[in-house]
Amino acid sequence: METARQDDPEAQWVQRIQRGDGEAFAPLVERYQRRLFSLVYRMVGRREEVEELVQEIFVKAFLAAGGYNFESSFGTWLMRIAINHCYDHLRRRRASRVTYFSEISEESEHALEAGVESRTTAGERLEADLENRELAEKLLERAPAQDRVILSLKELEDLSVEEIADLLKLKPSTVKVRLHRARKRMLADYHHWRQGR
Amino acid sequence: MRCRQARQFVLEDGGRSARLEEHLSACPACAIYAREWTRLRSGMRGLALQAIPEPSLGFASRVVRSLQEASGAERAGEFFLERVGRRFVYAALLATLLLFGVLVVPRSSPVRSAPVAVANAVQPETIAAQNYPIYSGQLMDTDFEFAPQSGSR
Repeated sequence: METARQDDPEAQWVQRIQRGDGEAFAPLVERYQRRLFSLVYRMVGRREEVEELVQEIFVKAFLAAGGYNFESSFGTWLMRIAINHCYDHLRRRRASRVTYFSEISEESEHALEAGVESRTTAGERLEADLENRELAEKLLERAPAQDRVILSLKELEDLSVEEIADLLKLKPSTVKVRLHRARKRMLADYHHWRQGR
Repeated sequence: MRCRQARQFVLEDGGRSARLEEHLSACPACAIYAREWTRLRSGMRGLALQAIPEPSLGFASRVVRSLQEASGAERAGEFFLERVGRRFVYAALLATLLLFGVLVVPRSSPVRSAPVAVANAVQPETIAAQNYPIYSGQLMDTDFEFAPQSGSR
């Protein structure tokens, strides 16, 4: 696990924040905003929700900074707060959502039915890529929050199993099991949808 | 290789072994399974390549401003809990104790008076009993006759 060095300027900013100096948070916002935008966007998948969520994460981190003990790097600690915040957001969103497959447009249904394997030209391949992306997006949207978090970190953020384990405070073997289950459920959901039509 | 094992390998990271490829070429159901997973994975890779939204102009300064508001609200919350909240808790505790004292303590006290409802319930019998001679004092010097004075006899 990456630990924070106390002589690091970042650690000094954090110490100032812990003493109540709110201005010291500005450089940390500048440093981490893009990373958080990327993580949050990949986890929630909706552009219009990203900025507000990132702002909420920074506020949460600022208010919780007193509890940061320099055991991990500030970046890792902040990412953990972001993941938990997104997880809660996804759970709330999932609870209030109607069925997913009704959200797939008729056009894309036909396109998916047509299949992508037989396409050969560059244009057709591009079209197939877009369809696959839309399909993956919809299945991720439909996935349980825990699955969505782990799939986003692995497949979209391209983090290693060890990095995910560090972020989620889990054993790498647990991450592997959860990842496998999430993939299996996603694929089962896809089968279920295809059979249901 | 069994189908279950083959499907487990399909979902794992890394390349496919010759044994798995052999199974996939012999088992159409597992081949479809593998193809669909490849398709979903390719879709997720496509999602990963999408442009990330950029912070809007002045985002960092807005965050710092909202931090000041949040810490102000938190301080106000702490003040409320510290002063007003504590007084409220004390007042509620006192009220509960008083209520407890009023409702529970008199019932267990030796100086408790008879409840009004019990007194009312006893009263008509007492009045009726006063009509018997033994209670009214008329039979004190005579033979005992246990019958109401104002009765038919």
